[in-house]
Order: sequence, then structure tokens, then C-alpha cells
Amino acid sequence: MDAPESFANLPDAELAARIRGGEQAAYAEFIRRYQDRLRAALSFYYSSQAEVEEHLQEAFVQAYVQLASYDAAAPFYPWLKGIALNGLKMELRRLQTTRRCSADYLRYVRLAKLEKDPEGAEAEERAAALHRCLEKLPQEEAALIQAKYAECLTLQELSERTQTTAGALKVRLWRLRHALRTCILRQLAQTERA
Amino acid sequence: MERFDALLAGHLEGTLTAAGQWELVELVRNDPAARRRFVALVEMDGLLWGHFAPQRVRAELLRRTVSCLPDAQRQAQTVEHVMARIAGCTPALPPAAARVETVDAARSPAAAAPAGLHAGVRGAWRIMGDSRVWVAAAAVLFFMAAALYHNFGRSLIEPHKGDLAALVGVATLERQAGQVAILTEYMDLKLPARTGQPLAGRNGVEITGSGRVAVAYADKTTLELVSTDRRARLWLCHPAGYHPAGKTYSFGKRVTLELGILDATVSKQADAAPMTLTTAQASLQVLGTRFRLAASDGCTRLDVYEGRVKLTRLADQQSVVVGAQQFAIVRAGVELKTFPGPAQPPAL
Repeated sequence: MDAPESFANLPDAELAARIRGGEQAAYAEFIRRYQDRLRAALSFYYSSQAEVEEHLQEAFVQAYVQLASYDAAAPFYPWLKGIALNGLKMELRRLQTTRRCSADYLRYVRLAKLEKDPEGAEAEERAAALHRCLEKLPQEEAALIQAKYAECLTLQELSERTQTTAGALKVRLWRLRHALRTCILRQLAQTERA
Repeated sequence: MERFDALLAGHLEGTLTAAGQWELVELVRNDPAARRRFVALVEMDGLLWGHFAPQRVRAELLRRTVSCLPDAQRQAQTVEHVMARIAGCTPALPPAAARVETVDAARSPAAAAPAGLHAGVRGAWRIMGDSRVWVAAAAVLFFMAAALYHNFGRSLIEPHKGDLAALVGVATLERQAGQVAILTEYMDLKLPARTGQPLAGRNGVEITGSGRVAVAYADKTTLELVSTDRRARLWLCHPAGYHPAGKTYSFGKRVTLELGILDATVSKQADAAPMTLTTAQASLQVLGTRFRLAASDGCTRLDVYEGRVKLTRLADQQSVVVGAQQFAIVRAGVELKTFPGPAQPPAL
């Protein structure tokens, strides 16, 4: 369901008013408008695309259900992000008590970052820094990352495309992630100094 | 650290074996340096997935979310309409199979086993890879359970003599439809579910996509987990556990519903050993009844059709007793009280 063009230029407050007035289709514009930003923030806490998409959907549905409590004088995104982070915090609380009794230990370790940064500010800073770091990647390495994450190719498919062994690709990807992480940390340090 | 890096690389590429996954979990759990390294690299992987989300993923999110939104007109109606939509917002599935009838309390053996049984169960799961190991593990468990029962059984609620199913396994997977997996503790290990297989304490059951699975206890208590669109998951936990404050054991079936809808037909339980079900927001104590429990990330809804269930909100420990043909909701901003509900569960 595409958001009609008529909604695309409306400010958040007007969109919210239209939805409250019964125009449910206007909510698609909110999803279109903010899904990339929220996805980037939530991705910080998960390593599986499926998990991120599941939580994104839940956050958007919850925001719709609670739309009556949205203060139209304020921007929509921080309110939406608050709902999404509340969902993560609830999951974290549950994992704190059940992780010893389930397969969720690795999920707990990832979500535990929220304890130090409950507002999720670090997630957006790192996503923005990653954007800048990817622009600096050599073309060949950028193509590999693009194929892996944008085209969702498996190691086997990547291997066939690049005529490289899966083992060698695994090492390349490993080094690339390290390099990007180092770049992100450097970017953040520069921002802090500035 | 080389071994750890190899395991982590495998984890990120999705090529890790079950044994490798377990090894990784143990390293992350026990080594702070490994834990930091794990978080750093997994975080990088997540950020890349988020950055490069393809257009089809964006379009799919839009489609799925819009199709799940509560109807605009009903949105303005009562809270139960909203909650019903959150609990199941997808097209209906065929009606559930016939339910198992409740049985008399006197025929109900207590599903109790000593806490030591878990260690044996856990160890067996770790090395389980094929059916031969299954057979060996079942034999070991049988003798462990028999020995523990011989030594401690008389201090427990007395199980029926000869009813070893109550001791060896917590429950049995009775029937299934859709993509169903058995989960094990400590690792993200998923095994394909087989009808008739025993489920031990700390095993989980997961449905991916639409589907349903029925789990039956020895006392004919039946739990039917239903997933209407994305995923449903429950954990069987601690059939009995040692009570640290006393010399006796605590009893009662314990189940954690993470996500999904659970239709339960609970046989009469002993007064001292109520069945306990937990969601992220609430816990229920059940002595014998028929009800439906729905759990999503932010909400729990309980519909009772027979008997009574005590529902406790975990956030503040407030409780309400939900009787037949009533329902209650545990969710931020919603008062904890009972509402008139349907006499029969709506078909899913």
C-alpha cells in the first residue's frame, strides 16, 4: 500500500490529525517517512534482519494504537522511537529473568547496551558514522558489502560471483567489518572533539 | 581468541554448527573480553543490515504493518477490540482440532521431578545430533529419573506408580501444523519437531509463520500454541524445583509464553501445585480450567471459558481473579479489571 502523493508533503501534526479523523491510509506515510531512520536505530541491537523487521512492525502498530497520546506539537519520530525502545526494554527485562532458562543469552547480551544508553542515542550516532565510513570504502570492498547486505547474497553465491573461495570471502568480510568499526570509532571521536 | 574469532565469523555468516553455536555461547557467557568482542562485531553486522535494507524489505514492512493496523472505526471503540487485533491481526486459520476433555482430579498425577533431572536433560541436549543419541539420552534419563524417584519421590506429591512419563518427560508434542521447531536451553539451537516426541523442562516450542502445535502433559492438560502470522514461542520450565527456603520441593507445571496465542485446557491440579504461566507482563495461577492467553510485546490478554484464573500484573503485583466468560488485559495504561467475554474461544 503506497502512501498517496497528497500525504507526502503534510507535516507530522497534520498527518496525525488526518489519521485521528479516520484516514487510516495516511499512516502509511508515517511508515514510509520514518522506517529507514527507525530501522537504522533498531539494527544496532539485533544482528538478524528478520528480528529488526519484526520489531519495526510492532513499533509502528503500537504507535498507531497509541496515537491518541501523541502530542502533535512535538515531532513524531522521537515519540515513535520511544515506543520502539520501550518494546526493547521490556524484552530486556524479560531476558534478565528468563535467559538462564532459554536460548536467549546472546540476545540478552546485545540488548544489554540499553542499560547504559536508555535513550538509544548511541545507535543513531553510529548509524550516521557508518554512512560516512561507507563512502570512503574502496570500490571493490564497497561492492562486496553491497552484495552481502543489500542483495542478501549467501557466502556461496558471493563466492560464485567473485570467483573466490568461501573461506577467503569470510576473512575479507571479517576484516571489512573490523575496518568499518575502527572508522566509526574514529568518526565518533572526531565529532566529540569538535 | 583465534578460535573465538572463527566461531564469531561463522555465527555472522550463518555457517556455524550447533556444537559451534554452543561453544560460542559458553565463551560469551564466561569471558568478558569475548563478550565485548561479540557485541562489537554483531553490532557492526546489525548496522550494516539496517543501512542496506533493500527496497523489497521496505515495501514488505509497509504492506505487513498496514494490514495489521486495527480497523479505523473499531479503533475508536472499546479496548477489547483493540486488544483482540493486537493478539491476532491476520486472516483466520482453520478451527482448532477437538480439545481433550478435562479429567477428574484423582486421575491427575503431579508432573513433578527433582531439580537434578534438569542437569541430565541439559547435558543430553548438548550432544544430541541424531536419533542414536536420542535413544541413549532417553535411556540415561529413564534411569536417572527412576533413581531420583526412588530416593526422593516419596517427599514429592506422589505420582502414580508406573506413570513414568510424568517423571521422564514434562510433556509430549501431540500434534503440529506449520513450521514447528523444538528449542533448547543455552543456544539458539532449533531441532525439527516430531509428533509424539517428549519435551523436557527448559525445552521451548517455536512456530515460524502461521501454524499450531499441541503439547500434552501426562495428566491430559493440553496447551495449544497458535501463531497467526509471524511467530509464536513458549518454554516449558521447571516441572519441579527445589525450594531454597525449605526442605520440600515446589511443584506445578510452569510455562513461559513469549509470543503468540495459547489455548489451554488444564486438568484439575493439586491445590499445592498450581500450574503457573508467565508472559512478559503477567503471571497466571491455574488449578484447572479452560482459557486462552495471548501475549505480544506490550500486552497480555487472558480469556477464561471455564473455571477461574488468578492473573497477576508483574509490574506492581496487583491481581485479579478472572472467571468464566470474562477476560482481562495487562498492558501499560489499561486498568487491571475483568470484562465480560465470550463463552467460547473465537476460531483462529
